[in-house]
Amino acid sequence: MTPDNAASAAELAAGPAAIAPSPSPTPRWFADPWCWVIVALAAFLLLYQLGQRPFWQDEAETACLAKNVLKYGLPRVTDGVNIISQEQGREYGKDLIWSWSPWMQIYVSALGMKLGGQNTFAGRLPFALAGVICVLLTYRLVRVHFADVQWARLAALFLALSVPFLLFGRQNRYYTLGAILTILSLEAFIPRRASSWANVLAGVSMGLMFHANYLLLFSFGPAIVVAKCLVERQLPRLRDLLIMGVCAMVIIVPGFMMYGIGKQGGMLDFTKIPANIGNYFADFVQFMLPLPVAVYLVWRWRRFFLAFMLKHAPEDRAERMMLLMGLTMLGSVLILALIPQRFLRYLVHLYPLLAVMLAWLCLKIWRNHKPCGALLGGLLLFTNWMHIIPMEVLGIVNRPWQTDPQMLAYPNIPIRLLLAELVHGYPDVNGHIIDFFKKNAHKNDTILITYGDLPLQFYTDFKILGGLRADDPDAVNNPEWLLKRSVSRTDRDGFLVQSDDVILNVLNLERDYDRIDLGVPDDMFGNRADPYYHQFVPQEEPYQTLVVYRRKDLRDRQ
Amino acid sequence: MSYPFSIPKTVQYWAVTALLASIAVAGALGTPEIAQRVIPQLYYDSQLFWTGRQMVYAERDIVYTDSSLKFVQELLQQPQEQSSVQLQSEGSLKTALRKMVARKQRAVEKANLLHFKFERLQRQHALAMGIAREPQPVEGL
Repeated sequence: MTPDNAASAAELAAGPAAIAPSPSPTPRWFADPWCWVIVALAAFLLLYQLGQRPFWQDEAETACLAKNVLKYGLPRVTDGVNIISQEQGREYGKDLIWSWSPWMQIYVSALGMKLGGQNTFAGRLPFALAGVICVLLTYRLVRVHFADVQWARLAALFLALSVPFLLFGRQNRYYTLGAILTILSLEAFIPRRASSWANVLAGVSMGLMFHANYLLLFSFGPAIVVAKCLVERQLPRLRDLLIMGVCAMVIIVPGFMMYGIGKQGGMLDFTKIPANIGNYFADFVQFMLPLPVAVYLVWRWRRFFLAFMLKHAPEDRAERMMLLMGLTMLGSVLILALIPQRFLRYLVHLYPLLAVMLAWLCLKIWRNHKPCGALLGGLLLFTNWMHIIPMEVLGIVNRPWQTDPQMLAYPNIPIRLLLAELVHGYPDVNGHIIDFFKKNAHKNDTILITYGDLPLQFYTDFKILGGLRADDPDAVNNPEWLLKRSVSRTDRDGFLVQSDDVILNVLNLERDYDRIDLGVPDDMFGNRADPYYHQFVPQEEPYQTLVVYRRKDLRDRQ
Repeated sequence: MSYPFSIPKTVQYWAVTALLASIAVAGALGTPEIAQRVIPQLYYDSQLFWTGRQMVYAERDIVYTDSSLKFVQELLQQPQEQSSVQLQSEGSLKTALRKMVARKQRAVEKANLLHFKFERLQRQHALAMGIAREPQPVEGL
């Protein structure tokens, strides 16, 4: 009998009352040396060359706000020279305080910069460390609740080798904070009857999740509560819900006053829901749970689904929890499909759950048939072939036009790609732009750039115009420098943003500016983590080069 | 539900193992570094075909957006035509015009980047096969 079966049998024999606090047969879960080997591996993959590539636009938004937090104590959108905005000024009010998204990531980034200085490594460090903690907590979750050391190790290894998770973990953004809070909130949902402290922990975690990104809470919270009801075939205890709700609300309520949640609510577009469901499905099976595994699990739990979830939940406690996690992921995706903006980043907090599920499945098969389990484990740990090949065979693989064979949307060995990037480095487009202007521009120069304005704001002291900001009268006054990126951006109404419009249609480049070809590739984003955009290996020639325009009267300037 | 026969568990597991092995083989042959060494001609033919198709679609998108743009511009210059297409306000036409300008610009840029991608593949193909190949015309262009 396997340890999980043993736990389940003991639970059933003793009846529901005895299940109350989850069994903790391994008080010294941290004594396993393999746990620390895996954590060390995760630490290497998350921390090595962390500051090598500069922030890309979204990371730089957090970094610029963190810089202002260090200066003013609050996330002001201006440092007196530049404005931080990617939504045409919707992000702030008259007080110039950031209200577009929650502040937790800004203050965490500010803490990193306070300790390590205002640089890329220091900004990303707290989030990367949170990623390492995620791996440790994933191990602990399985070890403590299911008393299965092999499962715990494999789950931690799955998370440590998950390249999408590592990419997001190496960003100056909230993703790994969301993942930690997700794991902590599971403490109240894994036991059949959670203790009061577990409910408090879950409530606090969910409250903090709101401050990481409220979409995480709005999708994860209801999904896991409903999933729990369905799997356990009973409504949650009112007392448990009250404890959890009160703890969460105490933390959440101030956020409603600080953030402009209504501003984004006004952009809901229900016509996008079908497309969002389709695209999330593609993201989910290509970068998270492979389609054959998902189909197998649905088949395995078919009696549960066919009986309208009222009967036939798996009796095995471990498997019931896997069903809970599967339903939670499904529910989260369905709720997120209601939101017009669709990104894989909103699912990153579910990677620990996924790691636990995949490890459970591999071990289950391994214990019955070693060749099959080993092959499945190897494929899932080291390749993305299970994710991509079945989609290719079915002709439903999603590969936007900008993807390249050495990206995660193609069959690859993802960990090898990541190591190639870390070891050999990547000539980042934002790095080239920053270096050029640091070398060639003067202190009071103004730069109009169509995208990548926020990295420039963070790393330089120039006056930066453009990006995705609202109309700025200075943009048309022949700034000293112009940089039109290879791809034009549109606003939410589908119009060209002002910076693109001005450079393409208003300014006379031929008459007033000299063209300077930098001879380096003009990648769309830089170090963006989303698998459809993250390039691990630099492009070979020919490529679209970066082109800067310098005002003609600056030719003779020293 | 009961079945008149059942497949032994071991057979089921070996069947799954065979399926996984086939995915492993297909995945290995689809991975760029391996495919470029083992089946270079097939790999580059496939990449060139799909990129070429995307390029054709991008070129068509330029044609479509350009003709739509011209149509809207004509309507703006001929107010009497607006009633024939059930348009009541000039404002909505100007909005459509601005959107179409953006769409055309993005279509042009997308086609431009796909041309670079196609040329890059052709160059890699020529290098891999040890041939100096002229850029091939894309079907449909």
